[in-house]
Amino acid sequence: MFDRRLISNFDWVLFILTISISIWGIVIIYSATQGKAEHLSKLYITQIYWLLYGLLIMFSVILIDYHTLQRSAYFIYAIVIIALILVLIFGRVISGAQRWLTIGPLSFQVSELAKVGVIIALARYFDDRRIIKRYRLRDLFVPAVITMIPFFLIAKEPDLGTSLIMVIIFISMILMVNIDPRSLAILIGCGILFLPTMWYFLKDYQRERLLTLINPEADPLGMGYHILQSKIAIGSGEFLGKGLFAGTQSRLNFLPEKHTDFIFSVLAEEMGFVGASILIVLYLILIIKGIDIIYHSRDRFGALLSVGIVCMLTSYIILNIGMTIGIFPIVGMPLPLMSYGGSSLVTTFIAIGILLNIRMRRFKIEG
Amino acid sequence: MTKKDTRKKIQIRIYIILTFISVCFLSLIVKLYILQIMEHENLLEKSEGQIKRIFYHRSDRGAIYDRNLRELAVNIKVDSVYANPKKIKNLTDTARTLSSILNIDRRELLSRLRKGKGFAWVKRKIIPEESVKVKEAGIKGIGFLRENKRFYPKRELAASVVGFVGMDNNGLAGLEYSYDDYLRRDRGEVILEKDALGRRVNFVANKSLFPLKEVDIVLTIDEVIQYIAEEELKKKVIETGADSGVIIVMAPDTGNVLAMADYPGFNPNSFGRYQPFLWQTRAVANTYEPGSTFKLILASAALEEKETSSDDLFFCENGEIDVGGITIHDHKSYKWLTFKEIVGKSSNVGAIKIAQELGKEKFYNYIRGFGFGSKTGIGIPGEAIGIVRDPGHWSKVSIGSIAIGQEISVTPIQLVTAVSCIANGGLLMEPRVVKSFMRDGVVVREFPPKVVRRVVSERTAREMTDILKYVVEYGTGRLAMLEGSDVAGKTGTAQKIDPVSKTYMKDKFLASFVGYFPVDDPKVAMLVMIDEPKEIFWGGQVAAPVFREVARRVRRYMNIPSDSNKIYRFADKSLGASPQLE
Repeated sequence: MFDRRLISNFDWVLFILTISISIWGIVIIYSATQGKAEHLSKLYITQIYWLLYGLLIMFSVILIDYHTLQRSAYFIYAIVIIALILVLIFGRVISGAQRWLTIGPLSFQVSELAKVGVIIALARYFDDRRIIKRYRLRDLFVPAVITMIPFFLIAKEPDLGTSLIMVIIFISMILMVNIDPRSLAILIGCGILFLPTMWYFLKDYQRERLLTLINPEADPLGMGYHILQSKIAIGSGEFLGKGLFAGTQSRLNFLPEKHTDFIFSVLAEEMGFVGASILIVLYLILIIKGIDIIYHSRDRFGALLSVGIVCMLTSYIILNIGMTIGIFPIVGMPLPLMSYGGSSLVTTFIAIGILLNIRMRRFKIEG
Repeated sequence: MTKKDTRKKIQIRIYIILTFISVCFLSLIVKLYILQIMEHENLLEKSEGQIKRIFYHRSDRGAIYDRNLRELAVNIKVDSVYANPKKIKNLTDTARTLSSILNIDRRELLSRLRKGKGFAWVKRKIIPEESVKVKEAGIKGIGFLRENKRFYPKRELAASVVGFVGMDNNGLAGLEYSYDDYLRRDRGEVILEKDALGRRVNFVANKSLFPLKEVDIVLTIDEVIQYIAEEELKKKVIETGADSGVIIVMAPDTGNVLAMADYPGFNPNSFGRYQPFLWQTRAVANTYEPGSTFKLILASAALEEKETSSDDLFFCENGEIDVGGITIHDHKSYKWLTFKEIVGKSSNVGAIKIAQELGKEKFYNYIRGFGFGSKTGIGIPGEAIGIVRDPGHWSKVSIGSIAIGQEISVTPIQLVTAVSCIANGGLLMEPRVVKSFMRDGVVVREFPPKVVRRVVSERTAREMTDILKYVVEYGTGRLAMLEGSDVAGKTGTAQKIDPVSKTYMKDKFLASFVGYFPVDDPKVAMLVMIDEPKEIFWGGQVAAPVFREVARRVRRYMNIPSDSNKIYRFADKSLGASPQLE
């Protein structure tokens, strides 16, 4: 089972990047939570444990050939769906959302893991139908259902951000397989028609978030507060930042969700334009590495799987940073590897583990 | 489709994705650049604005002393009661107990306790007896803070000049207000950071701490003279049923105000119980038509311009003169009077003739020269300018009216400053009430006497003194005559204008006397104004005796020697005998 080439094909750059960004994240989490009268000051230790735990899972994922995933894809998918239903029934409610499932001492956001499950299931489905040269609309019905079931379960929690990512994963994966141009046109047309209708399905607070994006100053202490404080934090950082552990916006609690969704703002405030740009570049290298894996993957399943994962990571990174700097509306979503939160970190480690796995096995393995 | 084609196709797709993702990441960096570099200033300002809180460190307020360092305003330590409503079991009961001990409104206190989260003032700066009672009540959640309370040991004395402070020891009136920056100068800034909940978090900086220390202020006012002036003024205002009165005592050679009395006054320790108009320093803030006292300005101008000499004769038209169609009367009809007699007997007709001879331009220049129509710069808040119209705006009547002190309004301080100018030989001094700044008993800044300008020559001043001496010896001012010192002065009895109809009222007068002594080397100039005395209203009868009484007591206090060759006309002054008017 074990092969030398597995090690020679191990993508050290991707691995080290992942670990480095995670450690950087822990430093920023530490900085963000060390203000006086702070009840969160021990969170960075929890995050260190999650990191070690994530590494362990990552190595387990690497060891198992990803074709095992292919074989058990629908099984994994089924478990994920059951878990999501369980969340809605037994889940722990934190800040108004029922997202956490507690097993023993661990609380886990199943929705995080669900995305990987959906990616695996979609990859398996498309790979099974590799004979189809051009996908027509009716060929997309099953993958759409595969996506929509967890989409609605997650949207019900509610977790708009994760649902959104689910849709993005679906779209990016069907773009990778060959779609009939006419079908694609119809899909896009439907999407455009669907968007305004979406407005009516949004909850009031979600609509407000969208409006706030357009004019955050209109209500600086209400909905605009998050975005304004984030911009203030980032903007006050200037070129080199206020210095690590010296960010006033975060340490004085002006910045909400500073250790989770707005971790980037803390980094930008304390390490400035230089630090923030370096992080963005690191993420870009990580994504390029992922694309390289897509390109060089040995088989169609591997390529589809890595496409899903790379798109998931990319959209998280762009949407989260875009949100903190005021390009996108505020949708609660973490910055992969940086934000505090075990579910997100472990899921990202699993995802990158799969990428490493695919990369390692790009050559036929003897025996 | 060959495998190669597929590969190529995928390659193109990969490049498209790569480009798309790179553009996304690049736009993130661009937006980041806009926020962090281009909008940095603006956003940093916002950040600091919501974080920084500046607290001022205040030290004890400087004291205010009279010129002999007798305390007029000091600080005492008193208790202030506060509550931590969270620790109080029963707010209603506590409010009831405290309101009865401290004599405050129960409901108002209760609402304050309910509103205050961790801190609420119950009552600040309470008296020791109240403090003892509150401590005896032993209510949980009630605490005490020692605070500085401004205390005015001499109560009403010079209250309108000294002024008073508010609850946080900030000057609100009088010199306490105008010298606030000096009395509490060392406001060091302590910058603290606060968090999003408004809690103070970090100490950041102690900017400009103690750059300049506060000072004690030493006044030119003499507590004893002030006391004499206030006592005599009060006596006369009550005796005559007048509305109010002002006395200013000035040292003519320096412009030092030795006393500035306003009656009725107020007790600055409880200023809130008095009508706000009583807080005013009326000696500088109120304006009056001076009436006949203004004739001495006219006379000085005429003498200085050599238009006339004190022995020139003027025909006084049997007490009636027509000026621009209006007839002005004398209180007695005179025929021929010398210049000196015109001033001495206060003939309106004579004064008008002198003014007409002088001409309005020259007259106006002297009026302004003596400081009328501009602030004296005494440094007491609320100083008025008065009304002096320039000659271009004078009507045909004006020259006649102004000659006898109508159609013009002046402040008491302007008038006494102008008289001091004649008394000291022709130099207009800037009047002052603050003599020096002291710190820890050492003078750190001295305010030397300031000459504004020479208005008349010494010769003119001497001649004027002669004439004014004549006024007291033989003219309208005889009741100001003083044992042991020759007095120079001028009476004034101004009809007041009805503020509604704008005409002169027949029964409302401002009785005044302005003068100085001893005539050879004047040490004291003084203005006495009694506003709206009832029944007797002549300046010579109402104000002149006050001048004499104050002068008599001040002379003794200041040890001003008797005129060497003075022949005493009165056997016994202590019995209160006074010369009779004809």
